[in-house]
Amino acid sequence: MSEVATTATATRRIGERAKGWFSPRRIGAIYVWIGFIILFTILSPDQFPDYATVKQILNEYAVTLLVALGLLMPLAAGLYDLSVGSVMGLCGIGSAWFLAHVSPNPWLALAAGVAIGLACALLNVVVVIVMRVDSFIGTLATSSIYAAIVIAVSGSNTITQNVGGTFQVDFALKNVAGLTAPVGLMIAGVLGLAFVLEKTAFGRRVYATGFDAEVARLGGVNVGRLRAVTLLVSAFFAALAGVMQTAALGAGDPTVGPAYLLPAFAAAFLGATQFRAGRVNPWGTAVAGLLLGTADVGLLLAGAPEWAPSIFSGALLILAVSLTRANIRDRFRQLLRTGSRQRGGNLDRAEPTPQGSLQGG
Amino acid sequence: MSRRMRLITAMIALAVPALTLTACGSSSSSSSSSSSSSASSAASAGSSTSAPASDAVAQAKATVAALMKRPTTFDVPALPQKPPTGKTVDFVVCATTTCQGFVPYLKEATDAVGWKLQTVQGGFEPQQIANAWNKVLRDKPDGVIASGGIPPELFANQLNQLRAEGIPVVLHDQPETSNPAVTGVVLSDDANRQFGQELADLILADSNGQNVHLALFVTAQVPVFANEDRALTSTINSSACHSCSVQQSSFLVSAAGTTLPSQVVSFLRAHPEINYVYFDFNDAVDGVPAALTQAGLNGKVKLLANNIATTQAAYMQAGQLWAAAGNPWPETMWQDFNLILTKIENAPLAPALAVKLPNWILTRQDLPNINGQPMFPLALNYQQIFKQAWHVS
Repeated sequence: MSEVATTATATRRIGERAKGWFSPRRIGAIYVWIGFIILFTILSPDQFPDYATVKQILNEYAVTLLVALGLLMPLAAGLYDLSVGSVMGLCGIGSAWFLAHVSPNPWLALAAGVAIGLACALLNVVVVIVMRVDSFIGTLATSSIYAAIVIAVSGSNTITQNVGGTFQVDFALKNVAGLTAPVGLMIAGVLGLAFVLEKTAFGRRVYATGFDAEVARLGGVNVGRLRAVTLLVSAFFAALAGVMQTAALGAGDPTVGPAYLLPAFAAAFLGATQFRAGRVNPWGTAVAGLLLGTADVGLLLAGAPEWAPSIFSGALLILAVSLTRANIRDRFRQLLRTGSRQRGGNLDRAEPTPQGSLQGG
Repeated sequence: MSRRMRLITAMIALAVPALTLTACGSSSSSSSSSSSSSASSAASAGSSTSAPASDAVAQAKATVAALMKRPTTFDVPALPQKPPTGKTVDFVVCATTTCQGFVPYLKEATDAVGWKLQTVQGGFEPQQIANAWNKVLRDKPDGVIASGGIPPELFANQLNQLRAEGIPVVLHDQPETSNPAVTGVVLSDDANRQFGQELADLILADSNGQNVHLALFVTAQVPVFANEDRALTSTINSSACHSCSVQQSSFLVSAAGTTLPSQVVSFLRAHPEINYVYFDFNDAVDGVPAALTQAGLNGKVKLLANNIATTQAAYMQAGQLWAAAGNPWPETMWQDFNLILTKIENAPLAPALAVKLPNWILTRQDLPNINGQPMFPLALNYQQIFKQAWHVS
């Protein structure tokens, strides 16, 4: 009899856990995503339900997702890195310059691009961590400097010498099942960040710092060093994205990088509403990026005008952030109520400090 | 509001815009279909009069054959005397990489007569444009040249002040304007119409005037390019082309090299009949060949551009860009300055405005080696032609 009761309890627990996992509050974007897949399949039955759509979405949005993944660490640690677009542009033009003037070896050009990205990160660290300039303002300022260096290096011209050969073939055209190098990097990035943020003490310290830097410091976290590492990570991802985008263009284009800033933040913010409500996380970011990509491609395939995806992405972002804030507020109040009941106090009026995507440094 | 209500609201809020936006597109598609059906009716009209159609194709082939040879000369009326030295000209440069490439050629021209060139960075946003023209007013130069196809209405006040101060202003890649402050417009409506017509002739010659399904990717941010779009559309939709159609999709200049390649891929997948794709802004080609390759559409369409710079030249060399109108950029910059000198010298403007700059249709076979330069002259002796007209050696 007791065995039956234990089994029933265990089954109920599994059911409750599954209910929690599949709750729309946890993975609402996936339901929206499935909804869109069905909608666009109905609207474009000949084009949308096709492997070509999968390839297009993954190949075209992998670069944006790389930038977005890079943003996660600083956001989780309570910093905004607004320089990623310009870093991406500088690394892209830097790798093209390297190919044209130093060596046509694509791997050395990739290394050069990454080295430039890390140099940019060091300047960000000096400004934000050493000089203690607010990250929002500090990285906006460094972004402007990087954009100026792009103009100086390129003379406002595109660089094509040696960019369209092996470099483009290796990093933009070679593929496995139609999926190119940036897709592989994006998948590796998601897995790597998921491991670091969710399975290591460092990741927990990053989230703790983002939740409350002072408490983290009192808990023994070297906040400055940790935040410096997060800025290095964001620049590393931006550098990879810049080099990959240069390969896709077959040219170092001085105008390209900054355009990726907003879509990347959109994916990171929207991703914060998924899986770990209120916390930026790589799974959510990947789903968000692919949801935005699906909407873009689906709308255009269905014959929507070219401005439609931008309106849609904007609406999606506003909704996502408002939902995240609401979710966080609910959870925080719930936590406070539990605490106040235990202590007999009333902390309900306290303002939540949403961790991750919604707080600045 | 409960969580469930919030979620339901969110789902509805996302689904409604998606359906509405698609509906917007559907109506735009249906207008395209109506243009396609008018194209089809034009085509059937063409098939009933096949002789004129084949005449048109033969004529197009003859025109194209002439335009594929590198031009060697053009006429520039001489100034009455050698122009004065030591003056200054301001050049308002637009934000694209192509525009930035104009600067060295204008410098060549100003150096030739001993003038100083000051560049003023403009842009495409109204505030940037206003800032640039306000700087020009403060500079008080002896002449102003502006690139980039920005509508003069955006700097009308500054133009009026320049006119009041007697400073000549020359624009290029602009629609014709009746604004009395503008001395002249180089590469205006007629020239751009001609570029479009030449590329239409190339398509007719290549396809023998049959089964052309052309996609035009157009930007409204440079209004003068609408002339090329219209010339292409009217020719391909005319009786000269059997079973032909034209579809159009627009883009913002800022989408070039970022979201536009994906837009092109989506458009081509939604319109699988398309076999020629034309971009009325050359930077718009950036990234498209790789996106087509990734999508398995490589070789399915022939790409054409209204102009060619470094990136597009690399694409053409790699066989990824089929053809482009070779814009006479160095010649244009010298002609811009020629109009300033003509005005300063009080020489008759009409003959100077009537100068016909050279034309050349570029394909992989005849693309010159440009060594990474963003642009190149069509007529190699252009400096000599202008210097002779200016009485300088």
